[in-house]
Amino acid sequence: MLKLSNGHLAYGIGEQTGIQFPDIELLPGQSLGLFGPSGLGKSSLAKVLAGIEALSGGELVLPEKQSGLANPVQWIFQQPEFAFNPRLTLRASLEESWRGEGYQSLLAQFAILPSWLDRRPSQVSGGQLQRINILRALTESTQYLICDEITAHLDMLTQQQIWQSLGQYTKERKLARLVISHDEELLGQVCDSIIYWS
Amino acid sequence: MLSVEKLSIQSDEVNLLSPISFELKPGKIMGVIGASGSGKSLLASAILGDIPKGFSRGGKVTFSTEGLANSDDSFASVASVALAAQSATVLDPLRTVLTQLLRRVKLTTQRKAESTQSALLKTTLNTQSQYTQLINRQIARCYPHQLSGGMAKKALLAQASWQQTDYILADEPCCGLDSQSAQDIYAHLSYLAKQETRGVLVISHNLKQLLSVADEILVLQEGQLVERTTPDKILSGMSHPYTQALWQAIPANWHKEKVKYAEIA
Repeated sequence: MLKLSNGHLAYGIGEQTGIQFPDIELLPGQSLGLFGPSGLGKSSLAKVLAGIEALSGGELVLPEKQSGLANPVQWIFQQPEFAFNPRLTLRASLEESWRGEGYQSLLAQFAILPSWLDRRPSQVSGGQLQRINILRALTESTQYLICDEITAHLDMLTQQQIWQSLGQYTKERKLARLVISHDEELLGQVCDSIIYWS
Repeated sequence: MLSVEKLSIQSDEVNLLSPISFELKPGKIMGVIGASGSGKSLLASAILGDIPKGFSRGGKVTFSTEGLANSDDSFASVASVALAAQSATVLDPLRTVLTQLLRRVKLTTQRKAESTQSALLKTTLNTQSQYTQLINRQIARCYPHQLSGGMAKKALLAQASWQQTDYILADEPCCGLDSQSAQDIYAHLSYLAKQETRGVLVISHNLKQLLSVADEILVLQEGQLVERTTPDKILSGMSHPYTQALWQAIPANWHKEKVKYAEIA
């Protein structure tokens, strides 16, 4: 289970500023939406849940991380170009997080051509790179996906294809998703329930 | 009127943009829609005469003003068209938004004395107007790294619209923004067209947003013009299958059948 209660993140020096997060409880197989305008701290929340940023108050329950394997909570964000080492081929990046070639059987499902994998991140389009970025997050140890505006920069046809592939796959594996977006209609399509944060 | 006649970009091997013709009238908003890589931004660059290396362009772009003889500039002169770029990387990281606005006004204004323009700009920021709704003094004082995504898009549009050109090209002005910021930007684009009688070309991959503001829509697919249509036609189902597919890709329409003719009645 992934659970955040009364979470607070302080920033700034000597000031009473910070972010008060909404309570979140995410169960296996569930798809939860998080809706809110820019600037509330949606991406900070994603970082907290992915274990990148530490809470300054409140309680966070995360699934146990097994040594040698990828984090069971995977954060996928809007700009895939910042998620890859620009000097590595996409194949090398995939193998790094999958600890091997287990991803191969999923290429077709995510409409990824094997020939793209020998390129570097700058040599594929944004939509192609985001599909590979998503695939990279779906390792065998992954249980929770934090989808942080993952299709906001893409055209709508690509957006639809990506959510179709991801929807089918997460259902098969009973992965849980937290979908962060400011597109309420999209959340209505891909989530079981939505948290409105304001 | 801005007339684009058989504008194209090609090399010996590839055709990036197949010949495309349309006119943009003052006071009108023309939307351009298509998937990534369909040539939307290329079209804007081609209108400005900016072609990728190794490619050549065909056709021509002309401007005519009512009551004046046609000015055949062959390509857009800086004084006639301004571009609101897609990416905030075109903002100068070392200058505040206000300084950049002043510089831009200086570089592009030949008709009026620059001091008048600068004074006008400062006055505008101190009064309530459509312009201060787009960009207020708080945004104007910031350096680009202090801006949020939405503020940066507003600064880009402000730069373009402050130049007093007759035509504005806005490349993905709302990409990645929350709905309130997107509404502010579209309200400003409407203002530029309807109140200030400029011709506005808006490039977007979000058909839903375009449907609410555009007078006409150009649909591009892989460098080719699929059709030139209007929001009414799209909403009533009278459109090309590719345009239908774009409409169906709007999240609210994912599980809907294509628009039926019967719904019009």
